[in-house]
Amino acid sequence: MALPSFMKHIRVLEAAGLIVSMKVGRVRTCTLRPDRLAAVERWFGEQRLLWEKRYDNLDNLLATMDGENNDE
Amino acid sequence: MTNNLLFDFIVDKKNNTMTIKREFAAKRKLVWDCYTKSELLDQWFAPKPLKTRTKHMDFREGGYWHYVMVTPDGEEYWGRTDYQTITPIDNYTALDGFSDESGVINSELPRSKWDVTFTDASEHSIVRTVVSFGSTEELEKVIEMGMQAGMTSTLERLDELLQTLTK
Repeated sequence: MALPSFMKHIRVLEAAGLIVSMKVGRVRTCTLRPDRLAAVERWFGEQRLLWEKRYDNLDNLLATMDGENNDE
Repeated sequence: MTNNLLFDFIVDKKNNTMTIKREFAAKRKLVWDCYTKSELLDQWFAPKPLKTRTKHMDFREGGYWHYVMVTPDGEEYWGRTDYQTITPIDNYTALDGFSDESGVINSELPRSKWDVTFTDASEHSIVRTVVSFGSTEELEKVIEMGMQAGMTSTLERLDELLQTLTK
């Protein structure tokens, strides 16, 4: 990977708070922020759960509304 | 209730979107009604044990749904969905965000765009919801807020409960 595109990747990760980087002279050191990564993963997991639960409710509601679907 | 209904949950971190695709054992019109009539939305929108209550509903382009999700201990999470485009019974788009009790949108927090599409699947129907955030920064803000507001802990308790149930 060429340096400019590599730097672009770094900037995206940094903007997202997933890594921090520090430049000393010619050397840039990147550090992962596992807490942040975990928080993002967790949030999406919770969103998935929220939609699952929400749609379970909707299944139940639809079953009460549409008699012909009850016998499934 | 066990079911074999399709459920897809796809996260696209690059584009800051999540896509939720779900099959329902009902005709499209019925599912559309459940999404667009507040007396029906109130019966399913909040995940248990939370409850939904509508304060205002005007389902038309430029109109909005103002609602609250209430936890068993009375904690309230107000939200407001502003409808942008409506094509009955195929699709609607909206902006969803946090608000206060009087309906004022929390401008500190980014809103997500919802693109909801309803299609037939023989006797069933499929709803595909694409929730998108304007940028990674916006998504991060919402994640941070979610953790502060304690909504997370409510859902975590739910998660724990689910795990005990499936064991």
